[in-house]
Amino acid sequence: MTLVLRILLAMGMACGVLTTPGGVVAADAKRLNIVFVNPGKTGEVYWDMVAQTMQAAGRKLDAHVEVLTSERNYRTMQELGFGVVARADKPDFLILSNEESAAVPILEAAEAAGVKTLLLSNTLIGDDAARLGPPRQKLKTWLGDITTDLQTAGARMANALIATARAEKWQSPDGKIHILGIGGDEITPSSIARNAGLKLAVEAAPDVVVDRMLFANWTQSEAERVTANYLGWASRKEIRPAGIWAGNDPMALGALRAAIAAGLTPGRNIQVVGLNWSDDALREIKAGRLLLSDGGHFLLGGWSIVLLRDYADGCDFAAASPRVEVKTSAITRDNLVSVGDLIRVRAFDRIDFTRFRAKPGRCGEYDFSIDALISSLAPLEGTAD
Amino acid sequence: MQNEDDMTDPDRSAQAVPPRLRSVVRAMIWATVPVLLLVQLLASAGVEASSFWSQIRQLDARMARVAESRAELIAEPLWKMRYDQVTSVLNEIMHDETIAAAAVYDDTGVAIARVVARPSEQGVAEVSRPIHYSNGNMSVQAGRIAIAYSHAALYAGAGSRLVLLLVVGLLATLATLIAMRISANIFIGRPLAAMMSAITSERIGGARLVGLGGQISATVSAKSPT
Repeated sequence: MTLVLRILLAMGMACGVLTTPGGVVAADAKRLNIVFVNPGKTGEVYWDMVAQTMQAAGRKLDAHVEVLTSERNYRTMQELGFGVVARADKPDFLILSNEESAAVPILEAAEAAGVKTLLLSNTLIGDDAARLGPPRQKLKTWLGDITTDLQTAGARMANALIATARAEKWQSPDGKIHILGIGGDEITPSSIARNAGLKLAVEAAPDVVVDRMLFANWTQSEAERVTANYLGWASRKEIRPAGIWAGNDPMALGALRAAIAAGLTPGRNIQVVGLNWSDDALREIKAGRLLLSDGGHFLLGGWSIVLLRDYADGCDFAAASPRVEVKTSAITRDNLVSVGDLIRVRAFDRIDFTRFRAKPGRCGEYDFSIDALISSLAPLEGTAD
Repeated sequence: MQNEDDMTDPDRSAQAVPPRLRSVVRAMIWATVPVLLLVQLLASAGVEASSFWSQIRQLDARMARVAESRAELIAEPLWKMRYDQVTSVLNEIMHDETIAAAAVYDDTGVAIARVVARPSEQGVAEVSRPIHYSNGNMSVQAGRIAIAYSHAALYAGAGSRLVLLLVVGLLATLATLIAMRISANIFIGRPLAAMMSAITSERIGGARLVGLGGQISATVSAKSPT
């Protein structure tokens, strides 16, 4: 009997070690060398956070992540990329972002050198996409891309505004809910996707009208100016503005300032939404002036390491699709407490990235939702009790 | 002492113009010169007036074109509430000295940008055009542009040209007068003087012949036997 128990125990231990995907990294799993060519500048919040989540995930998933920053210079970015693929000791994976289509020559050089690549945040577009086709066809070493679904984010933000306005009965005398849209610009794909989300939500709501879709170059000051102009116009037209949809958090903060200057009380008689999960935005959410901030796309950094770890361990994410599109999530007052500190102090080591790995037999299926994120968080030191 | 006729008489010592002839030439000049001057001035004024109204029409048409082109340029920033850009466009047209002021009104009728070059003066006209904004999905009237412009420069130009024409007309008339006076002396005065001189000579010669005949008859009667 004892012998049987011992045999069962030994088998169980063996299974626990061998079943790597979905659990901890196998003891014999190879340590990965990953290089990320960061297109951003040092100190650029979004790209810094992307790199930090990558490195935090690397620490959990036995991967060394080297970050090379191109300081927003696409020539530098290409030189860094060419330098990596020309190394004698080549990395296992090279992560690139195709900003301004600057990653294409590096992808081709990596193909020639046999270095596996993953595109993050910005994938191939236009002629490049047509010429090179999908991942793993013409470029065999281009494993895929991981991007965010910003259209759904834009629609979710608009729907939150609409739901609040309906609940509060903030209709104008014409019976419609009037909303101001503030986009970053009209040409960047990530801006177009967000704006398309707003349009999609409004088209599905016949009682809602977007009075204006204004553009503020992603900046707080311009958003403040155009919002002030809009509120003055709305007042003259006897329109009751119910909400302001902003394509990012700085513009949402600018809109807040203009609304307050116009004598409105955000959170009480008008709602504002933003996107980015920025620290300032979270503070405004806590104060009740901002309805929500959508985002979390900086976590693409961590999620990309999860994909590559699974791929290296034989669980290829392309089993579902080589193109992984991650949904963003909204931070509201309801879930602010859970993730607020994580973002404020950038304590990304609290995230247990091993829990996001694909389950055995379900390669390519990932749950990167905010609920999964919250449940993966280790308690803050000193707050466990 | 010289009189006015002396100045124009090329051969005054040899052929003095008789007083009656002077009055004929003077009368002819006085009858001709005012008519000539009047015709010249009227013709010049007519040409100038026609030119002035043509310039007014051209200015009106140019201002209408400016308003229409700026309305197109302003449509997008107006709709997108970039009022600073709207003001920049207005500032740019103020380089035109004929424009006194310009304003853009939004669809509520409120002026959202206004630029004034100088205080309003008389003779100011205004042109106004609607501002239409359209994109792939919509087409709306976003507002209106109004440009106030002055005809003062045209009036001032026309006035100075009229004065110039008057001076030129007077000078031309004076030149004509002098030319008439000279030509009257040459083509009328001299032949008349020659004719008068001939007539006078003839009269004197006839009188001498009559005197000579009386002497001859007296001499003949004294020498004959009775």
